[in-house]
Formats: sequence, C-alpha cells, structure tokens
Amino acid sequence: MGMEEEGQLSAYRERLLDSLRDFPERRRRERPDSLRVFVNQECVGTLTCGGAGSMSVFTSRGRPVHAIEVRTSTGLLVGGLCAETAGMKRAEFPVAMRTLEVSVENRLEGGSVRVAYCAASPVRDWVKNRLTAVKTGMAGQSLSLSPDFWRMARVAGQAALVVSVLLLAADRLTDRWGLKETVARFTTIAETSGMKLAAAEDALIKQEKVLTSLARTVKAQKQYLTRVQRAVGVMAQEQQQFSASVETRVFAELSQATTERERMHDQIQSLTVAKDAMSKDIAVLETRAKVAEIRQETQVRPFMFWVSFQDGTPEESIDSLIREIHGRTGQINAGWYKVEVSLPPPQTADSFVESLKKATIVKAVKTSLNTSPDQ
Amino acid sequence: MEWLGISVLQCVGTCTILTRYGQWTKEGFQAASYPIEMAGSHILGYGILGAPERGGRVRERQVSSIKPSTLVTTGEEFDRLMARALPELLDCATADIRRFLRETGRWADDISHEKLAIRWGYEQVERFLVCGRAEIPCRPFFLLESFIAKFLSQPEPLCYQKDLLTPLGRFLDGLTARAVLSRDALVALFYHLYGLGQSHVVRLLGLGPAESQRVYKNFERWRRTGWLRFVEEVGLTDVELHDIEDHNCRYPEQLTAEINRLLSTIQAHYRKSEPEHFPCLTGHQWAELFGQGYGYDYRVWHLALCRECLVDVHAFRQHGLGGIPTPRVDLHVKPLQRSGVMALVGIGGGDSNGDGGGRPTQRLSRTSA
Repeated sequence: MGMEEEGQLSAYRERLLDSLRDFPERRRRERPDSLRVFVNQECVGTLTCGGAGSMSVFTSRGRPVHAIEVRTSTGLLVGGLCAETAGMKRAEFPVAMRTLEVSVENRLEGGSVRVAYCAASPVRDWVKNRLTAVKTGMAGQSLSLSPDFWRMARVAGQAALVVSVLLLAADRLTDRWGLKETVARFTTIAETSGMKLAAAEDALIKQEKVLTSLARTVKAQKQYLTRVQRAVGVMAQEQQQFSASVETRVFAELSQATTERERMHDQIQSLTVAKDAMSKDIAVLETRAKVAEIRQETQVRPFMFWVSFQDGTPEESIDSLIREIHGRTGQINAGWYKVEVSLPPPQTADSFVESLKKATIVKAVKTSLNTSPDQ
Repeated sequence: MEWLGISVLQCVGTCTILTRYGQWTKEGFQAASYPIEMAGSHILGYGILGAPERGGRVRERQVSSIKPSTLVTTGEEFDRLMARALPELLDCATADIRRFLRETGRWADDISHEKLAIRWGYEQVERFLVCGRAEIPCRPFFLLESFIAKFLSQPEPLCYQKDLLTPLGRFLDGLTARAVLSRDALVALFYHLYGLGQSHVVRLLGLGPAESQRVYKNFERWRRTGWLRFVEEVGLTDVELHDIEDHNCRYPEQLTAEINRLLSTIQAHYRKSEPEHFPCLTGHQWAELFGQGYGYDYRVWHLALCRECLVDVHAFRQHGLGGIPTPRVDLHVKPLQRSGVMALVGIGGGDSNGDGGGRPTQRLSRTSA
C-alpha cells in the first residue's frame, strides 16, 4: 500500500474510533420507540418502549444461545449479553431513564432468553443521583478547601460553643424558678402515666393471651406437621418397599421370561434340527416315489382278455390280427380265444380293447369269461 | 509483555519494536499508525509513528502502553479502561479479523481488505463495549478475543466476497447489513435500490394509514443522520460515492447488471438474520396474506430484502397499483431529498488528493423547499 492509501486507512480508523468514543454518549441520548432483540445475530422479537414496559421471551431448541443484542430502530446497540455455554446470566442496562433487563439460560437442549424493558425505580434513581451529587460535591469541596475556610470554620465553632454555654445556664435558672410548677405537672403526668400504664398492662395481657393462643396454634401446627412428616415418611417407606417389591417382581418376571425365552429358543433349535431331518427324509421319499413312478411308467404291463370273431372268419385272418397285436394265444372255449398282450406304458387296457373292437373281424371282447363280453 | 519503545532504524522501511523480551523488527513499515501483532495473538501495544517527511524527519512519535492482562473489577474501572484503550481494542479486533480472513484464504494485502478488517473489528468492539461490562471482573483484552473467537466460530459469520470489496459492493453490502440492524435503513432500501418513494411503497405493500405512519415515521431520521453514519462506518469516501453515481449515469445498464448480480448474494446472506420472515412465499400465500390483511412486518422486511418476491407481489397486485412500474434496480446513492438539500463536503476524509487526514465534514443542511 502506498502512502496515500495508508493515509486513507488511518483516517477511516480515526473516524471509527471517534464513533466508538461517542458511543456511550449516543446510548445515553437515545430515546427509543421500540427495541429489537437479536439472538445469535438473528432478530427474534420487538419490544415497544411506551407505557409501563414490555417483555420478550425467546426459546431456542437444539441450538444454544451465544449472544443477545438489543438494538433501537436506528440500529444502535443499547444492551447485550454473551451467554455461557451452560447456565444462567443476567444483566441490566439503563436505556432512556428506564431499565433494560436481559437474561439468558443455556441448557443441554437449547437456550432461553428473556428481555424486559421496564421503568426504573424512582426512589432508587433519586438515591443514586443524590449519592452521586454528594460524592461529586464532597470531591469538589475537598479539592477547593483553603486555609481561609478553616479559619472561618474555627470562628463559627467558637461562637456556637459560647451560645450553647449561655443557653445551658439560662435553662438551669428557669428550672429552679419553676420547680413547684414542675412538681405539680409531674404529679399530673404521673397520674396520667399510671392510667396509661394500666391500659398498657391490659393491652399487654390481651397480647399475652393472643400470643398464648398463637403459641397453641403453632404447637398444633407443629404437631400436624410432625404427623404429616410421619405420614410422608411412611408413604416414602411404603413407596420404597413397593418399588423394591415391584423391582423384585419385575426381576423375577424378567428372569422367568428369560428362562422361557431360552427354553423356547432350545425348542426352536430342536424343531429346526427335526425340520432339517424331516426335509432330508422327505427329499429321499420324494426321490424314491419319483423313481417308482418312473419305473411304473416304463414297465410293460401284461393284459389278458377273451375275444370272439365273426362267423366264417378264416383262421389266417385271426392269426394275422393276433400277430399284429403281438398277442399270445391260449385256450379256445366256445369260440372265445384267450389272448395275452403286453401293453406299452402310455396305452391302457380300455383304449386297447376299444381299438381292438374296431377291427372288422372282431365280434366281441371281454376280460373274463364269467362276465358278459363288451360289445 | 510491555512496550519499551520504538526505534526507527531507517526513515522508511524498517521499524524496530523494543520489548523486555527483545526487539522485533518490522520490514516495510510505512503506516502512519501501526497495530503491533506478536506471538500470533495479542496486541502488546500501539504505536503511532508519523509518516516521515522528505527530509527523513519524523513528524510525530507517540507510544501508549496498556497491558493486555489488565484486570478490571468494577464498572467504573471498565469504563475508564475502555475510554483509554479504544485504539488498542480496535487494533486487537482488526488483527483478529485480519488473521481470520487470512487463515480462511480470503485475504489480500490491499486497502479494501484492510478497510473490511477495520470495519468488522469496529463492529466487534462496539458489541464488546456493551456485552463486556456484564463480565466484570475480567481482563478486557483477553475477553475481547474470546468474544471475537466465539463470533467467528459461527457458520458463515461474515458476508465476504471479493466482488463486495469494490465501492459499489461495499455500498450495497454495508447498506443491507445496516438494514438488518436498523428499521430506518430497511425502509430506506426501497428507495436506494429501486427508487420507490413512500407513496409507492405504501401502495405496493398494501399498508394502511397506521402501518404507513409506523413504517415511515422515522424516515426523516435516516435522511438526516442514518445515511451519513452508514457511509462513515462503511468507509465510503465522497470520491467513491461520486464515482458510483457517475458510473450509474454513464453506463446504467452495466451498473444495473452488476447490482443484480451482487444483490442475489447479499440479500441471500442477510435474509438469514430474520428466520421468522425468511422464507419466500408462493403466489397463493402472498395473495392470502394481502387478501386477509395481515403480516405487515413480513411484507416490509421480506420484500425489502428479496427482489424476486417484490417483483412477484407487483405482478400479483399490479391492477390495484395505479401504474406503479415493475420494481427494477434503480440505484440512488444518496437519500431522498424531500424537505431539504444535502450538501456533501469531503465525506470520510476522501478529498480528491486522498490524504484523508481529517474528520469528515459532511453535514446535511436543510433549506425550505
């Protein structure tokens, strides 16, 4: 920076210093119509300055209060407080012949601020002003006391002493002259005093009675309090016992529940093991069933039946059909030929009989000689 | 640690600070006043070393020494120390802010950054003057550092962006930052950013006579002193303000585009300062709010700090607005002059030669219309 800039900077600094020097006086002069409350540099409320006073309360949740500022509508700072991390703090600021009270309390979960603008006590102000004036006056006098002042004071003191001695002598003389009158006056006064004394004694007796009754009441209250204390003690004991029994019961329930839980856990474990074993068995059985099914499906089944042919059917045709169906002939009984075939898996006996019946030379088919043949 | 003095080894270039622990030499010493940093944390003292004249003679030499470990036990002691140690406290706060910016990679050795550090340091000291008194007994220098550390440990405590270090950026940033703290500045935003006067704002925001009176009753105060204080605290010089106005006259579209860009960052940052009025409402919610006649604070606060919602509300209410044009950026650097004429003379020591040695002499003078 050059000299010119340094000069500018210096002038700016001096100007701000002047502003700071003037700051207390500006605060004294300020007559605000309203005050704004800033908490952590954020405006949280406004106070009106007219009337008896006003108050603003602000609560911050989750965020502690760092700083409180109270400013007039011109922006002038008239009160402020820097809060503790935890705990309470309070301060008072004089603003326009009144008092600005700022208090803040920080807790774990946040902070609360209370700002009140209220009238200052006139008596307190008066005493304060008087004291200040006296202090100032005394300080001023002590500085300005001169030897002439002390000389004048000595002369005045001597004059006051002479006047006092004269007044004392005159008083003694007057006493002697008016002794009789004084005795009579004292007699009257004594009578009056006696009456007053009697009245006072009466009043004292009454007060004593009141005090006695009061003492009785206090004693009764004390006894009552003792009873209440005893009852509270009993209740506390009962509550303690109850808490202990509840605690014991809860512990017992808890331990029982724990045992039950463990037992159930064991059962679940054993069930899980059994389920695993069963799953394995089921898997084996399923495999076997499948194998059996497959085997059953692939197995060729023999099927025996009786067949009769149309009249006049040559033997060659009959042999040809038997060969065609891969049949094996057996005995012949009253025109019925016993034939056995091997049926491949998809083919059933019924479908085979049905297809056989469709042959032109076949007259009838039956599966047993005792039953009526299927036509 | 105490100061024992300053010795100038060369007229310009090197300054040696003597302490009981030895001497420490600072190269490149040119400042008229210089905050002393040592051991990375504490201001040990404050020295004013006059800028050397051509002949190499030092014009002024003044050293004051206050122990950083000074203990105060009563309110009176605190006030006395504050009155005496303001330069040291300001330098201490500035050094802390500077270090914070440097450590977070936001620092450059130029006057804009130095001004920013001083401004933020000043705000911290102002807070400390009020809050520190409640901490008695205390060691004020250490306590100030603790206050600043606590402030800087918050998420995004400062609105820093390199673009905001230009005069225009500082104007917008400073004005919006002020609006967060001051109702007067908040209402003034409508005029400074969009050129909307009281009648326009009242109609656009649907304010009744009572609300209008409440919102605008102190607007004169902003015109009279508020704006001036804002300009002084931000450190804008007369030349810089004139440059912005000049640029606005010559290249209005370019400036408007730049403001639009900066406003989105600035407004988004400072809107966080009022969570209750922060969320942007939907068209339906705005309609309900206006239709049922509630949420006046919401209207004033949110619409002053949210350009998008202001445009939405205008679109939604345009039939009843009697020809108020759509709000668009229309920068007004100086406050609305209704009943008076403002005379600017050498704001912020920013006279044309940039010497800046004196107090600002800007005043508002009122004349009959």
